This record gives sequence, C-alpha cells and structure tokens, in this order.
Amino acid sequence: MTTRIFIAALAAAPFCHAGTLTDYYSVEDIASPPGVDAQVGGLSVSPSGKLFACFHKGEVRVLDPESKTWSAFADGLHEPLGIYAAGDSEVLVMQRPELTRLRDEDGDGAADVFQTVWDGFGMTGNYHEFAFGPAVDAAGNCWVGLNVASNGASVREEVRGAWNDIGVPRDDFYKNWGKVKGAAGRMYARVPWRGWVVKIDPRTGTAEPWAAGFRSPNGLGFDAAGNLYVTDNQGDWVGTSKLHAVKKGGFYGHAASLIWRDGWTENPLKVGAKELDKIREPAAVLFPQGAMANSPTQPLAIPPGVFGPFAGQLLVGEMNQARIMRVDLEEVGGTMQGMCIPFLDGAPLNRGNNRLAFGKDGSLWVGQTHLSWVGATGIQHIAATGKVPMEILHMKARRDGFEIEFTHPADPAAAADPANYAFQRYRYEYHEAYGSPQKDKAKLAPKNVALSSDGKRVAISLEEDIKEGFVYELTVGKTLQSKDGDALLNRLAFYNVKRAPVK
Amino acid sequence: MLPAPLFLALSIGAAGAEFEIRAVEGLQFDPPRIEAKPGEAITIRFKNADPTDQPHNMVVVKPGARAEVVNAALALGADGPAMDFTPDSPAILAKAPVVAPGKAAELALTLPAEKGIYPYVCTFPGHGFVMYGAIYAGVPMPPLDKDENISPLAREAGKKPEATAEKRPQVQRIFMPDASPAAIAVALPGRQNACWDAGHCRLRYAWEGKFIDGTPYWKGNGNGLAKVLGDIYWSSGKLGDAGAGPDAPQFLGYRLRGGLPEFRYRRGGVLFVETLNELPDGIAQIIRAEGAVSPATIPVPGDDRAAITVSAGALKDGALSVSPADLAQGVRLEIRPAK
Repeated sequence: MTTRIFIAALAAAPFCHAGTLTDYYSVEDIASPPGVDAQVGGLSVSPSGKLFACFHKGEVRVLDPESKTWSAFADGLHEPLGIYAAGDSEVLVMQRPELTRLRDEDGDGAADVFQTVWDGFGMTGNYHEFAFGPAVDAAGNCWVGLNVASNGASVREEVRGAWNDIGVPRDDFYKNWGKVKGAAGRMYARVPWRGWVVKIDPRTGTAEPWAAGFRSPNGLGFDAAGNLYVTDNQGDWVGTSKLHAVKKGGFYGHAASLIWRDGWTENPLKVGAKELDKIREPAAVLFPQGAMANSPTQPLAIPPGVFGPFAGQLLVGEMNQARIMRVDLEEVGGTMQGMCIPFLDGAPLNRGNNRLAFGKDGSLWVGQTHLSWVGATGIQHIAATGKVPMEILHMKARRDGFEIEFTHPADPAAAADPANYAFQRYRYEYHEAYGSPQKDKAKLAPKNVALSSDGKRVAISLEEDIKEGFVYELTVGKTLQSKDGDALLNRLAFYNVKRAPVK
Repeated sequence: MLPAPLFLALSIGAAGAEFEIRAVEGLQFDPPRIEAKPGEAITIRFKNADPTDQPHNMVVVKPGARAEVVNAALALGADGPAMDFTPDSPAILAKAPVVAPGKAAELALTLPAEKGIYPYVCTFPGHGFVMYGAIYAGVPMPPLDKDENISPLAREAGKKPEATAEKRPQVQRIFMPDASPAAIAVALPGRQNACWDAGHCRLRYAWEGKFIDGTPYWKGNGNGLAKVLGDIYWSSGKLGDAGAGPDAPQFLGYRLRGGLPEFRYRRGGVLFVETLNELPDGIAQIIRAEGAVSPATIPVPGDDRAAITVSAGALKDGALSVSPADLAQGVRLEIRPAK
C-alpha cells in the first residue's frame, strides 16, 4: 500500500533538475603565450577581433582566435593594468607610471612607438600605488583609477609629483616611520590624484581629475547608456566591497584623496567619519564580504545578443572566488541601486578573475591574476550554449519588499510559497577602520507572496518596509524551479537599498 | 625573499616548546615548517605580519586532512565569517581565529602520540590552496625544495636560482634603486646597461655586466626594487623630487630603434631627442634638439669612477653648456669607467 503511494507521489512531482554551469556556458582554458608569467592585467578585443592582453611583467601579446596563436606586440611595460585596442596597430595601456599609446608604425606587428599620453599624477614608489584602466567612453576619452598608497610600506626618497603637506610630516616617513605609520593612515594619498578617477583626452593628453574617494578602484566600465561605474575593495573606510555610479566632483568614501580637492586644508583623518559621511556618496551596489566577493574587479556591460535576457546588465569579476558576478540596476528616488548575484560560479571557472572582454562573436574572454593575493593565471574563454538558465533576472525594490522576475516561468507550487524566500537585512558601518561587520542584522519573513499569472514575476511583501542603507540578502529555496523543472542556477542575491521606494 | 627555514622554538620547558609562526606576504607562513615531538604539548603564537592588509587564520589538522578541511571551510559559504572560516571537523586539532593584520592569537595543542606530518593551513577563502605549512613530529624532513607539505613558494625559495639567458638589447620599466619611481632600465647589446629616469628625463647611472634581476619587484605586488647586476661606474647622484614645479621637464615617451630606446622629452620649451649607444668600454649619450633659441644646459654630474668626454660645448662643474647649432647637430657624451 505505502509503496504504491510513494511511487505515485514521485510520478506527480516534476523532476527538478539542478543544472550546472556547463549546461549553459562552455568554459575553455586558453594556452598562455610562451615565456610569459601569465598574470593578466588587461584584455581588449580589437575591431578586427584579435585579443590583446597585457601581463604582469609588462608584455603585450596578441591572440588570433582563429589560429589560436600568440604574437608579441610589446615588452617592458611597468605593471600594466588595462589595455584598449583601438586597432591592430595602436593600443592604449595604463601602466604604473603613465597612460601610454603603443603604435606599430612599420607594420611588423610589434610596437615601435611608446608615446606618453598622460603622466601628470604622483608616484611615491609605494607598492600599493597601482593604476587601473583605461575604460574608454563613446567619445574616445580614457578613464583611469589611481590606487592610494598603503602604510604597509613608506615612500621613496625621490617621489614624482608635488608632495601634499596635509598629514604626517614628510620627514617622519623617512626617520620615524614605525612610529607614525598609524597616523599616516592605513592608506594615504600624499602625491597628486591618488585615490581619484581621472578623465583623459588621449588626443591632447589633457586630464581632468573627476572624482575622489577611492581606495583600490580595480575596475572601471560603462553601462549601455554611457554612465561610469567603478568598483572598490573592502579596507579602511570601505565596510565591504562595492560598485559606485561615479559623477563629476563626487566623493566616494575613502578619506585620503580629499586633500587634493581644491581648497581642502584639513587632515581628513581628523575630520572624522561622522562629518565625512555627510559629503560622501554611498555605493549603488554592495558585495557582502565573504558571501559574495572579497575583491571585485572590472565591471563590463553585457551587450545585446550575447547572454540572452541579461543584455544591459553588468558583469563584475571577482578575485577570491571562482566567480563572475552579475549586477542588475534600477533607478529609485533619482539614484542607481540594485542587486548583485553570481553569474558564473564555480569550476571550471578559475579564481582571480581580473579582466573581462567580449569578443565580436559575443563570447567572453576572462583574464586571471594573483600578484600576492588569492587568484590564478591565464585566460579562459566562455560562450553561452544557447540554453538560458533559470535565474533571478531582475530584483526590484518596492516600499514593503521586492519584485523578482525570473528568466523562465516558474512552477507555481514552489514559487508562490513564502517559505522559499528567506531574507535577511543588515548594514555596513562607514568608518576609518578596516571593513565593517554586518550590523543591525535581522531575518525577515515574507508576509505575502503573489505570483503573476505567467509565472515570471513574484511580488514579495516583507514583515516591515524596506530600510535605506541596508543590504537585503535573499536565499531562494531549493525547490523553486521553472515549469520545465529547472532549478535556479543561482539562489543567493543581494540588493542594496540606497533609497527606499515610496510605493 | 623567504628566509631560510627557521624552527623558531622560543623556549623548551616542561610545558613543551613555544613557536612563533607568522602570516607573511605572498600568502605564506613563516617558518614554512617546524619540528616538534609526538605527544608534545606545544604553543604557537600566530601573528598576522602580512603587509598587504589581508586577514588570516591558522588551523592545525590531522595528517593528510588539509584539502578536506580547506574544502569544508569553503563550503561554509555565507556562514563562514561568523565561524572564522573554520568548519566543525574532527580532523581539526587546533585553531586560531581570523586575525587582522598586525594582531596575534595563540594556539595550544598536544600533538597526538603518533609520529606524523601535521599540516597547518589558513582556511580564509581561497588562501588554503597555497597558504600552508607543516609540523614534523618524529618524521624526518626532506630538503626544503622537495617538501610537498609546504607551499609552492616556500619550495621555490629552497631551490637554487637558475641562470637564465638575458635578452639584449632590452628595455624594461620597473622600480629601480636610486631613481624616481618612473625608471627605465636599458640593456645595450653587449655588457653595458643604463638606468634612465622618465621622471627627471635624464640618465641616472650606467653599469657594466649583467642587466637586472626584477624578481624582488615582480615576485609579489611591487613592494621591492629591481636589483642591478653589475658594477656602476657613473651615477648622477641623488636628485630631488621629479615632475614638480613649473620648470620640470615633460617626458614624451620613446621610439624603439633596433631594440634600443630613443627618448623624447621637452625641457625649457625645447624638444630633446636622446639615445644611448654602446662603446666597447663604456656608454655614449647622444642628445639632440631642434629649434633651440638659446644655449641649453645639460646636467652632467662628475663621478670619480668615470671619465667623461663631450663632442661639443663647455663642460664645467657638472653642467654642459651647448649652443643651439651644436644641439641641432647632436652632442655626444662618452662615459667610461676611469682607469
């Protein structure tokens, strides 16, 4: 008796298939160019479809994706952390000391000219002063991010650029470092434009420092509408890693770079977090430390016709985990905010996902690195199989909860069950200290769940209205599936509420 | 550079040995391995001395259980931070919590009576794949460069450096000693080498012999300078800060000719082109400028180790004064080690 009922029950329930990454995306390991320490600093696909890559020891190599062969374009650059291939004979590279134009003038396939486009920023020789970019906008301007110095090391005797006297006296950097490194700031910016995002016209070499308040902006990119987005890494003044929508004149949180603002005279470390909080612009998206990302990298908009319904959203690389994230933004109360969710997660994707570039055929090239942190080396090549996974496509805020849209109609039984939507909310503190724990944490149960008639959208009302300044972490239950029986490929999403909607 | 293996037993007494193990740059433990007795009660002072701002923990596990514990820690997912990324596992013998840079924690454990190799590992997400070492208890230690129980980087440090063929000519931008942070190292075809400073737009020093070892800079994240592998016979000496002030020269870049750089820079409104040539016994600087309207002053500091000759202009007190006509032709400075 019991056996027959058991079998009948099994026959009635649709088969719930938990898909894996490779059902939807192929991941191919690409052989690295010979003789190169394959830590990738930059990737760019030229208009002809060739992949330009720059590496840790300063090599620029070009992959012909058809023949799968590498050729040498340049050597000897200083820690290039971004490349833009304007054509097969001309590329722009951001190195530690400068934005450089490399040109092959004699047509032998290798650069002859290494022209300094812009070096009007300071360098103390501190190891942490990396230079990221360029992200190139539709008008051809180059956007770069300048990392601040770390008090894990002092400065060199000869610096490049004007020294800013605000803060610990320069003499103490040489004579008294052990005693003053705390007062210098965990990260500091004593030469021009460190901690700033800068806009450069590569045709004239003129630069416009655009916005301050960055710590380690290892990722600049544009959305489909041409708005600039920049990531930053957890650390001092940064409670958890994040993504900012960057506007001219903005201050994005890290105090050190403020001393380069026109007319600024105070030591920002003495001004304090409470006052600085009043002038800073919070992030559009937060990546909770450990759970989502520990070190986000490049944001890159998904073009149309490439990854199905995800066109227009952003991909963001992550170093610490074998993960590339997806960010879905919406405008609420005049500001951009939204959700992050894993997009490609786990093997066969490697760790160390530092740089991303789309090929002309819509495939995705991923360059990996580690330096002295967690990561990998080499390049992987990813293509959509054509099968669209069951995913949370959009997550939109409502006054009292969220509306989720799926990529496929959901099976109503599980999708309409409030028990399948576990929320918790928490916030991160803005302060000088390194990182922030999750504060004011609370689990929230859905009060009501309403599934649309086509099964694609779920409106979830929570037991309290959503609060500004909080991250809402959603874990969707394992039994939620599409009508075809596909479980969600990624069940964990994080929505950052900068503004609470009024309805 | 990792130090030679140190078995830093701070004291050995009735309570057993005390060790200090630090988390250091490059996701390493220092020392990479220690020696203790089976059944011994030991204390480990775990200090996070990583200058790159990363938190670390330390977990001591049963022989052979390192990979299993590392994977179990990763599987903690969002619960990881609250648990210091340390799973509840019977394979764990002792643990220290996640420790912020500059801080320390203590682990106390009594080693099992069985002889064995007891791994210690940082289970912070991603670190465990490279950040590990081992306690050797009653088991002989293999040579450092063959020890699979320590991290790959520690094994590498135990290897003798291989002599690699140098590529010449070569141009490499890298942090160089005694120069501004915008330095360019140049290897000429033979045995001559130069450090040219793109911040100051001038030659800083010349040496004879092998080129540079960039490993101190490249091995981690840039917290080091390249090493000059030869005898410096001429140097400009210390200069002030580069690129500050209205008179600072402007670096325009370089063109490669036969693998060697032709530098371009603007000083005092005049466009200079400078190349380096190799002499059998020294180095030559050729400096050319078109359209100068008044004589230019080129700094040429003297150096007791070198003899300098110039093809034009007046060299006095470390400065060469050159007429516009001579500049347009190009002035040649030859620098050789003094006999």
